[in-house]
Amino acid sequence: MNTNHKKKIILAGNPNVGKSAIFSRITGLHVTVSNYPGTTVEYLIGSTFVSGEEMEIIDLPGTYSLLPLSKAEAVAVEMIDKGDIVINVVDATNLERNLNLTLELLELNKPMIVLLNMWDETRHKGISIDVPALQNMLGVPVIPTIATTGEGVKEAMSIIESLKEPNIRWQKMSEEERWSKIGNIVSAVQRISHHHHTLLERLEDLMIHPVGGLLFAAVVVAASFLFTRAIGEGLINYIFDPFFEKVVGPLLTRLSLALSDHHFLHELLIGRLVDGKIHFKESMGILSTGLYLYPAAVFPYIIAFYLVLGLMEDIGYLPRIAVLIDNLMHRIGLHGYAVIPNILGFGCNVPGIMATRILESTRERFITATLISIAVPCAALQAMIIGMVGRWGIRYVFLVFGILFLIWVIIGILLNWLVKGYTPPLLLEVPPIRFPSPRIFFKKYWMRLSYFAKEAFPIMLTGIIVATFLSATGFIEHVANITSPLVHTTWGLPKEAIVPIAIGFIRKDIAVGMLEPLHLTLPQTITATVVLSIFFPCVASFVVLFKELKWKLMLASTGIMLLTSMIVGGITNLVGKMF
Amino acid sequence: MEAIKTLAEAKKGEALKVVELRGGQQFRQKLSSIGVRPGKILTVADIMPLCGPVVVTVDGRDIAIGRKMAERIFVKKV
Repeated sequence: MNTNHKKKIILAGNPNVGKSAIFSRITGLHVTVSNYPGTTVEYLIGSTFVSGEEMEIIDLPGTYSLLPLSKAEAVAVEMIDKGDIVINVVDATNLERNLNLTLELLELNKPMIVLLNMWDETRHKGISIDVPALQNMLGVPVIPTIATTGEGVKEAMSIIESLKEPNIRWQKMSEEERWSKIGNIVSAVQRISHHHHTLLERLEDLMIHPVGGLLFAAVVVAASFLFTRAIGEGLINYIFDPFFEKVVGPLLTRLSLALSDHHFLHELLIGRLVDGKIHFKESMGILSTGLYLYPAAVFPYIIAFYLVLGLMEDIGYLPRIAVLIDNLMHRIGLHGYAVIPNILGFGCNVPGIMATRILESTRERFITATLISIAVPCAALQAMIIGMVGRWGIRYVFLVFGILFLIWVIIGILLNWLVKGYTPPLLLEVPPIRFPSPRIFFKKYWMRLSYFAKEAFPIMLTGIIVATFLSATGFIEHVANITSPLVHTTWGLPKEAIVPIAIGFIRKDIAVGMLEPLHLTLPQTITATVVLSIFFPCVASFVVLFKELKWKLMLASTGIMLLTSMIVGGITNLVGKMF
Repeated sequence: MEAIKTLAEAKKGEALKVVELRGGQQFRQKLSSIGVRPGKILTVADIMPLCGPVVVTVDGRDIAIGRKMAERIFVKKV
C-alpha cells in the first residue's frame, strides 16, 4: 500500500518507562501518555524529520518481553519486525528487568539505540550506572534521558541517522543464557547505595493497604464524581445553555416559521414544538436536539471526566484500584484490571467499551462490555437520573444507583458461571506514584477530547438523524403501539412511555427527559429510569459494541440487556405496587 | 536451612528468595520478565484479604500477583 519508503523507527520498551513521553517529545504530536499498562494497545504513529529526511515513528504498547503473551505484546512483536531502526527506552532505575527486552531486541540485529530514561530518578534512588561500560557491553549507543524535561532526547535523535547494526553480533539466546548475561552486565555497570523511605513512598504504601487503601479509594472516587458533576453542570449552566438559548434559539425560531408550510421538513429539522416553542432537549429535530445534545449535554461531562481520569492515570493511581478490588472482580469472572474499563464507562460508555481491549481473553471482554452497557450509567445519564428521581428525594437516587450496582454484580456472577473459559490471575506492576509534567498531561488531555469529538460526534448525529426520520415517518409510534401491552403490563408504565424508551436507543439521557411530561408516579419513575439504563445502550455504544465484539457476541450481549430490562422492570414494578 | 513454602503462605513484611516457579513455560516467562524469577529476593509488601493478590517488592518495584499464581511460586525465608 505504502509506495514511498519512509524509514520506520520503532519505539519499544517496558510499560511505565516514559516511552510515550519520549514519543510525544520527538513527534510533537498529541499522544496518549499513561501509567497503566495497556493503554497503547493501539500503537501510535507519528513522523519526525531526521536531518531533512522524514521518518515514521511507531510507539509500541509497553512489553516486558518479545514473547507474545498478551494481545498488546503480540502487536508489539509484529510491528518490530517491520521497523528499520529501534529506539529502546529503558527505565534506568530498574536496569535488570528492562535489559531482558533490550537483549531480545539486540538479537534481531537491527540498527538500535538505548535510551536510559528517568535518569534524574536514579540519583534519588541511590543508583549509579556506568554508561560507557554499558554501551560497550551492548554494542549500541546508550544515552541517558529525562523524558519529562526533554533532556538527552535531542542528542539521541541527532545520531539516529548514523545508527548501524550492533557492534557485537548477537546470537539467539535461551532464557537462562539471557538472564545470566543480564546478571553479568548489571553487576559490571550498576552500583546501588542505600536510600531512605520518602514521604511519597509512605503514601504509596497507604494507597495499597487492604483497609487504608479502600478508604482512600472511596474518598478518591466520591471526590471525582462530585468534581465531574460540578464542572460538567457549571459548563452547561453558564456556557452551553445560554449559548443555545440566546444564539441558536432565535435563529431556529425564524427557520421554524419559514418552514411552517412544509410539515415533514419542519418535523425533520426542527422537530415538534413544546408549548409552541423549540425545546432543545425534547423537540428531536436534527437542528434542534441533534445539534444541542452532543455539545451541550454530553461533552461538558466528558471535559470534566477526562480531566479527573487523566490525573488518576498519570499519577499512577488506577492500577492500585485494580489491585485493591481484584478479589471482588474475580467473583464476577474478571480480574482487577477490568475495573479500568468500568470506570471509564462512567464518563461515557463508548471509551469504556473500547478499553476492554486491555483484557486478555474474549470472555473477559464480553463480560466487561456487557456489564458496562447494562449497568454503568454514563455521566449524561447520571445527570438525568438525578434530575428525574432526585425530585422525590436524594435517597431514591441512591436507590436507583444501588439497583444498578446490584444488577452489575448479579449479571456478573451469572455470566461468570455461564460463559465458558477461565480468567487468568492478575499479574501487574504497580507503578510508582509520579507527577506528570503539565505539558504532557494537557497534550494527552487535548488529544483525548479531540479524539472523542471526532469519533463520537458523527455517530451521535447519525443516530439523531435516523431517530428523527423514524419518528417523523411514524415508525416509532407504530412499534410503540405493537409493544405497548408489554410495557403496560410488565413494567406498569403508561403506553406513551414506550416512545421515550425506544428513543433511548439513540440517547438515553433525552429519553429520560421525555418521560417528564408523562407525570409518572415514584415507582413508575424508578422503573422507567432503571429500564432505560439497562435496556439497549445508546447508538454510539452499540456501534463500538459491534466493533469490539462482532455480530454473535454483540447479539448475545443485546439479548442479555433486553432480558434483564424485562425482568428487572417487572420486579421494580411489582415491588413498587406494594407501597 | 529454612523450609520452602509458597508465596501465598507468606506473611506481610517477610523477605523471601524465589526458589522455583512451578508451572508451564508461559507462566515462568511471564513472571521472569516482570522481575520475579528464581534467585530473586522479594519483600511481601501487602496481602489483600479474601484471596486477593499478594503485592511484592522486587528491585524497588511493586508487583501485584494474583493468589492463584502466588500458590505456584515457591520461596524460602532469607
